[in-house]
Amino acid sequence: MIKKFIKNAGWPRIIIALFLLALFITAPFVGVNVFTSFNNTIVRFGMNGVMVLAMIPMVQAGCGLNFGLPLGIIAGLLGATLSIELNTEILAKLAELGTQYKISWLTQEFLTTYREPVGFASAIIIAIPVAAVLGWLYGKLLNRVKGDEMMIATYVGFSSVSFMCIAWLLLPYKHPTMVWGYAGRGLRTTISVEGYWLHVLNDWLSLNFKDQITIGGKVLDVNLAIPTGMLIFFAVMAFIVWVFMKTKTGTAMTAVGSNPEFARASGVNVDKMRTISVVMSTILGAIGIIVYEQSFGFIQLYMGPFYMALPAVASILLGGASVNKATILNVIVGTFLFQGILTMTPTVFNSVFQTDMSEVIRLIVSNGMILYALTRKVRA
Amino acid sequence: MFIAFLKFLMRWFQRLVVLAALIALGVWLFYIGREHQVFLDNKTLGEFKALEQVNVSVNGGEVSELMARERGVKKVVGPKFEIKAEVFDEDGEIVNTITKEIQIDKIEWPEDFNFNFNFRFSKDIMINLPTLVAGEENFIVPAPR
Amino acid sequence: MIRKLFDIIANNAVPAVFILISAFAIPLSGFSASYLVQELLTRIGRNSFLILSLLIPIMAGMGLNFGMVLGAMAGQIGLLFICDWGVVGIPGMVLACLIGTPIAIVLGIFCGHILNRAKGREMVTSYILGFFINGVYQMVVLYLMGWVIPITNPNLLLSRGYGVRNAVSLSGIRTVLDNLIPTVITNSEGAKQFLNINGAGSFFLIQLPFFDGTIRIPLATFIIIALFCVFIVWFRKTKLGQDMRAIGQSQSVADSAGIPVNRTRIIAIVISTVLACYGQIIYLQNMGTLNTYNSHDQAGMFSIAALLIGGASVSKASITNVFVGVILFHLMFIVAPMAGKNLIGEAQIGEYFRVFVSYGIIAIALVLHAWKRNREREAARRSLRGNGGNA
Repeated sequence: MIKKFIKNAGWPRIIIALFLLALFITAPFVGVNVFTSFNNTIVRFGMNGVMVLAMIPMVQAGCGLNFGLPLGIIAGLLGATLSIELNTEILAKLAELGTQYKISWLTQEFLTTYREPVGFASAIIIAIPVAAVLGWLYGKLLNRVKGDEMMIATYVGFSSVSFMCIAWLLLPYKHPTMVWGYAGRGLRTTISVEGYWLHVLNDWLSLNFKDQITIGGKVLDVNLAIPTGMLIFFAVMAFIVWVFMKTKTGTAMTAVGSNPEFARASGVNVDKMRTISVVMSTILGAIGIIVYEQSFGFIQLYMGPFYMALPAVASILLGGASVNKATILNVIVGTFLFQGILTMTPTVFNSVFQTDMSEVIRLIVSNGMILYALTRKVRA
Repeated sequence: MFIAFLKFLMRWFQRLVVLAALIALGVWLFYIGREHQVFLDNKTLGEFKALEQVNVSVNGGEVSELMARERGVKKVVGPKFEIKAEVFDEDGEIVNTITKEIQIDKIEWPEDFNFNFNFRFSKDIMINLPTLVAGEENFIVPAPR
Repeated sequence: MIRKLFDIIANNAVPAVFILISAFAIPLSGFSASYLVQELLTRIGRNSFLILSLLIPIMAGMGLNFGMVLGAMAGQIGLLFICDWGVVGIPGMVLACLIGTPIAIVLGIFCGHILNRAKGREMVTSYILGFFINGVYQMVVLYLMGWVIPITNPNLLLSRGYGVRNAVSLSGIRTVLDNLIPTVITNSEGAKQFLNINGAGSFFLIQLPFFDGTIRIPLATFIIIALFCVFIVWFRKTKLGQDMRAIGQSQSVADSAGIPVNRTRIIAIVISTVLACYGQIIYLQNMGTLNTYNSHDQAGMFSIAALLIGGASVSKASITNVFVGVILFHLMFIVAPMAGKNLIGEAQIGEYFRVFVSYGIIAIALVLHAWKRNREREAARRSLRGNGGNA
């Protein structure tokens, strides 16, 4: 029974889960506030969840792990920057549309009150078509290179990020909060979203506790801020993906992933299914990065998205996914475990060893997990 | 059977020999390639008074002019080096020239020097020039930290 | 005749495009010929060895060995030790190689075993393995060195007392190999100046009357690289080399011919890793500073990009590809920032451009390879079906 469990879960996963458990157990003894850590874990879970969710369609359709996530992230970055650049134009246009078509709630007043959510929504709405186009091209490419998707995805991600480095410098952005002050052109490396859509999801319906509790004679500050909105958003996205995977297209996609020959024989267009999965993955990546940024507070351009695929890939694998099978549960468990380790290691290690080993542990854990998944025999 | 065992032994013996040779090569490289700092000290030590001016070169390299109570430093590679010191009087005339070959790993340190284990592996030494010029043997002192 | 020429160009599309880019970028950059030649010679000496280390795994059908960074890390550990001990000059370099070799062998064996478990996706696995070992390397260098592993030289350690600094000066072995046999090419004018500055004697002076400027040649490095090329040519003909080529053609055929496939693949990776270790040491003796935490990263990417630019593919690479690649890639490396600055007024663009090209070229080469292989597979399947129908 235990043996079977270990075999199913795999050694690395169990070691990492035990490691995280040990961190949570040690934390109170070395003076780390567990409540704060837990809260941080939840926040980071919400931040990264959608990007991890983006792995599902491609894994299910047999395209492997989406190391090309940066492509979707770029679409998201374009949406985010354009939503700030065109903020006033968008609001004006919406107000105009409201009066033109007599939409009673779409008034100037509404737009002023909900300026931030509208900005956030506009970022996503701009990002989606961009991601769809990029994803479609990317999907077409991946259909021609079956068997080598992961390596090529990695380099498609890298080259698109470095291509966009040139583009960020040359694109005609004008907004003063975004371009370099002295040159008047070329986007900055980090752009604050404060005043646009900072924390729109985090603060929506957020639950705040402030209290002090005494455990074993020690007074502990409990200061929780649960980002309910962000969690709801993630839940909605997860639900959409779940429902999609249950539809006819979704099941066909899974069929393509588990047995392409059989799927072809039963009349499924394999290449089309694969393209759809890649488009979906890219769109989810784009939405994911915008969710991440609204919580993080900054848009990171240039080399920022470079290695962003690796944590997402590692998370879903940590949650129990394999190279050709992934579920929503894998996403939830994996993101929670991975982000838990990322939040707990710096604090606990800092208090025990007075040094921050989190970077090294992150490298070893995430890449060790990917390595483990890649070296497993694929069950056809 | 016995032959097979012999062959097995032989193979391991050969491997050991190669390994030992490589380690020996490493030790030798360490020995000949090590860079040492040689501090040159023109200060009064015991009965030997600081010299007015002394020009010192190591292994025929660049010459340092050291006035009284000055200190210089040279870098040498390997365990052996040759030091050449030219002593000047007040009028700038050479009064004495000394060349001496020094082998760092063969230095006989006096018993009363307070050095620890690390010190013997330390790569730096200091030469007290007045003592050297006086022709005494114990002109090598521990390098400053 | 014209068709043949067309074929040659089509088969060498990547180098051809690069020659074209360079043809535009060189005049734009405004560098003098002697400067470019000098820079190129330096970079050939610096990088060729690393790139050559990629050839053997390609021969064994294992694709581009992204795991070469493992070897580079082993070399860096060797260098850190000789820096700490203060061993300088050629003995220092050889000692660094000697220390790096066992580490590289162990890492190579590890890498080989992992890749044998991930057949068919060696590249992505070796790529991730590079990251993973990078984590272990950082753990060792950043936390264990100076704590568990004795490091006595305070110039190497961070101020907190353990962990190696981000930048380590390799002044003890800087260009010792390059200048072992100092060689200078110049015209009679330059020769006079050179003699005035450096004094006569300890270097070869080659005078070419038509030559403009003065160029130093890292002759000893070139000799080592040449020896390495001879080694590779010889190695292809040995039993082991033949086995590797057989495995590269078809693993199942090689297996039925009695070749120990897994073992041979591990050997290929070990050789590559050890050579990458030496390559990194040669590279860093020329650079003179070790960026402890990212020198090895760049080594992998730039070497692979250069090899591909030289016209190699994932399954086929020759010594010619290495040298064509290193020249074209580094020509672009030298001129791109300056050309970017003169063209658009921003050096940063050229900088990003060459990063983009490095990644882009790897992506394109991988795509072309996979595409071609899939088409061949498809064709084979179709012909099989056709035959079945006839019978």
